[in-house]
Amino acid sequence: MAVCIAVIAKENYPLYIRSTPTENELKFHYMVHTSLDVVDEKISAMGKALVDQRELYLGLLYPTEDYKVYGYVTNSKVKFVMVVDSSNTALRDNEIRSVSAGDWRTTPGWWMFRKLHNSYTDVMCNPFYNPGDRIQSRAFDNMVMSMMIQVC
Amino acid sequence: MADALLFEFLLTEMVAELWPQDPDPARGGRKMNLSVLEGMGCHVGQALGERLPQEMLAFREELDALKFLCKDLWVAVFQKQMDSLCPSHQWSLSMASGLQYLDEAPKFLAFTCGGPRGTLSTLGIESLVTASVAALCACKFQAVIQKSQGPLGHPQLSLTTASGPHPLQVNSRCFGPETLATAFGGGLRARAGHRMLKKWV
Repeated sequence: MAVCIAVIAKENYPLYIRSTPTENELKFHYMVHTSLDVVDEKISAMGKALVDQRELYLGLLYPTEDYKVYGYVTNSKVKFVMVVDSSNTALRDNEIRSVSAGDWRTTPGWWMFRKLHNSYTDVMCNPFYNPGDRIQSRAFDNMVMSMMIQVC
Repeated sequence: MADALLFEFLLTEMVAELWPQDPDPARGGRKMNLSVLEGMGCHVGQALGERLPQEMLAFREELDALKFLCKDLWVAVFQKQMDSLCPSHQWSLSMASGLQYLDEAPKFLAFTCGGPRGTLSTLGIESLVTASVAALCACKFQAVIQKSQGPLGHPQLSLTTASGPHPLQVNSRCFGPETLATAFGGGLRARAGHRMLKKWV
């Protein structure tokens, strides 16, 4: 179960950030902020890596004792960061990275990021939305809440 | 095919609305209207720049983004392949079939100029796209990429497409109307534009 989901613009400011237990929100904000460094590191490492490693899904960024942080970056350099409870063993994104590229796409983590990406694209296509503003779409909110309360 | 007609009507009405016979000088006159049209095209381009690369792998460098623009975006929007890639970018398209329409052409091109500019800005490349109608049945777009080191370092890119003469009206086939309507509709399947309204709150 995701406890915090954040959408970060390419200039590294948050477009949307939502966490489930509303106390200690600042702790999650801080975690997301520190994960941006790891994201940048992975992106620049991806630039120097082999051709077949150009993926949008960045995988596990770093684990802490209570939580794990996963990342995903779009082609427009918008980052999605998800903080997940460590006790949730169903979301094993870092394990299924086999040789053939197709397998890791079946992990629930990847699908969650795809849903996020699709909803974000819908928000961008809204003509009343100016790119760079905070995301205030109810449809996006509902999708994020459904992702946070579902038990994988 | 109905989507293509819908977009053509929409574009015609937009231009008719924003290009009045007596421009209001207090609001900047016709130049402001052209920039409104170009801004609209830019927003559409930004949305396309989000939606079209969704299924693709990450762009590692600027070259990948340009390749996407030349191949995928171009085919999706204009339904034509790029013929050549030269150091100075000029897109040519088949359009007007009569000299008397050459004066009318620029106002229809404003929206089309905004499209690639919006897509490039989503992919992280600031640029300036201008259009010129040089001859019959052809018009050229030029994209100037603005590099961060200042105005001196801007390479000009050139792309040309096959421009066979089509006996069409001036305001049609300027842009890929079907794909614009479908991009709004969410995905590359053909859907009418009104379905996009359901996705917004």
